[in-house]
Amino acid sequence: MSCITTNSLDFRSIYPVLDPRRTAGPGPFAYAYNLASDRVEFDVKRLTGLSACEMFVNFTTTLTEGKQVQAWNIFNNNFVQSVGSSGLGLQNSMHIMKASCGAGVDTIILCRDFAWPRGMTALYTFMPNDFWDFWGGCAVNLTWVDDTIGSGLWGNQTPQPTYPLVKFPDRTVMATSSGFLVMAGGAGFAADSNFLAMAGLSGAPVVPFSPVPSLPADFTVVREIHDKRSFVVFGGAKFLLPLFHLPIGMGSSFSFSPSPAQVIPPGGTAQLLTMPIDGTLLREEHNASVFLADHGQLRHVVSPAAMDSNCLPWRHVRIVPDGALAALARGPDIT
Amino acid sequence: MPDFPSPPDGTVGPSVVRTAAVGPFAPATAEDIQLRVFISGAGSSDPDAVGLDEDIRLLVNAYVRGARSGAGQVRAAAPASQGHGDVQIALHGLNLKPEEANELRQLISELVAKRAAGDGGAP
Repeated sequence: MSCITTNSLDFRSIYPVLDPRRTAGPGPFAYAYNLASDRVEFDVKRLTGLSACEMFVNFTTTLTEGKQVQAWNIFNNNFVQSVGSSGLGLQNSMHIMKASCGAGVDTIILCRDFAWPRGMTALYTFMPNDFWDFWGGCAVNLTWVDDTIGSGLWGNQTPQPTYPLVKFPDRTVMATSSGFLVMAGGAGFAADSNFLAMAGLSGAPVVPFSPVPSLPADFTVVREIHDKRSFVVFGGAKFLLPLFHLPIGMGSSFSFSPSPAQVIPPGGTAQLLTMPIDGTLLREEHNASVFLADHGQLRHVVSPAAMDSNCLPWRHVRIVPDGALAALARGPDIT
Repeated sequence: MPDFPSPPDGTVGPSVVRTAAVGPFAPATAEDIQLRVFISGAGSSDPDAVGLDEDIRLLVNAYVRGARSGAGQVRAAAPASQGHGDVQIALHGLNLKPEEANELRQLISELVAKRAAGDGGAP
């Protein structure tokens, strides 16, 4: 069954959905949304065992004016559930399912209960495909932080995110109690002054310590300074690249950036995972079989229909070199 | 200015915020309306479905323009139900008469059937 719906949603209300897979670390992820007239934080946490067709949306605010987050079904042009301010008698948590025609939820709409005569007014929303592809299978904790200030920009005026999402750019040097961290793909790798000198970072400004993840964002390519081998990172796990691989557009279909490898300190790849974090989708370059990392095992997704029915987005499938998945533990097929 | 509870992993919108009056949610003029077509459900990620949403959007836009200008005429009686085979169609925000909506559903169904048969392309 396919569902086709026309909708005249005001495109100005649609804001980007940030992609946890392109954010450094395993999460949970704190995303700050500076909306036109409001500031809202979304904390997105993957829930092991929760299907990508499901999501928990939890609501918190200390603001006086009433707020409502509507779980919207586009086919029916109405909301099926909502959370919001306790002063409006609304619950603070809802478990939603991805829509299939007239049942389930396509997206959420953030509303404010303005003074009479305006009343409850829908203001902000997200593209349905992005909303589910990026946040499906997660608990999304929404905190409405402020309703008196905002960016002044509507969704269509808001710049699209640039990935990877990192707190510090590559080659940032950070002070720690025992030495330094050097950033690659948003993750910190322990370094000493010898490494800084060899990597040409001796004169780099040193930023004060701040907690950073140990796992880089997807598509990061790293190489230890005395090692010719390069690894691409997907789901926090490292995959060895062929020594003379070709960049994209020159004969290779590997889904990693052709940008050069980030040089990290000796032993730095040891902090990367062998088995990707749950929810990572992978396939080898010359093998169409797609696998989902789930509970520390790779599970074969047996068909395109199984991808659809389990809400597994094709856009998240990462391509790794042939043979890269051979040594990883296998779990039951996904049908 | 209240801060977010912790340094964010990502930010949407500029970090510089300001007091701003809330504007209207609904478009001020018809020209502001941007029709969107959503396709979901089984088969929506098939290769056959690539570009189908845009083809349908063009079809609907052309039909609505014709209906509003009075240039279009309902071709024939069309089924009143929303379902056409394995496809369900809901039309929101178009302000069509019931007979026009039925005809548009029929045209969309025909387009989907053509695509499924491999004919491809927008009409």
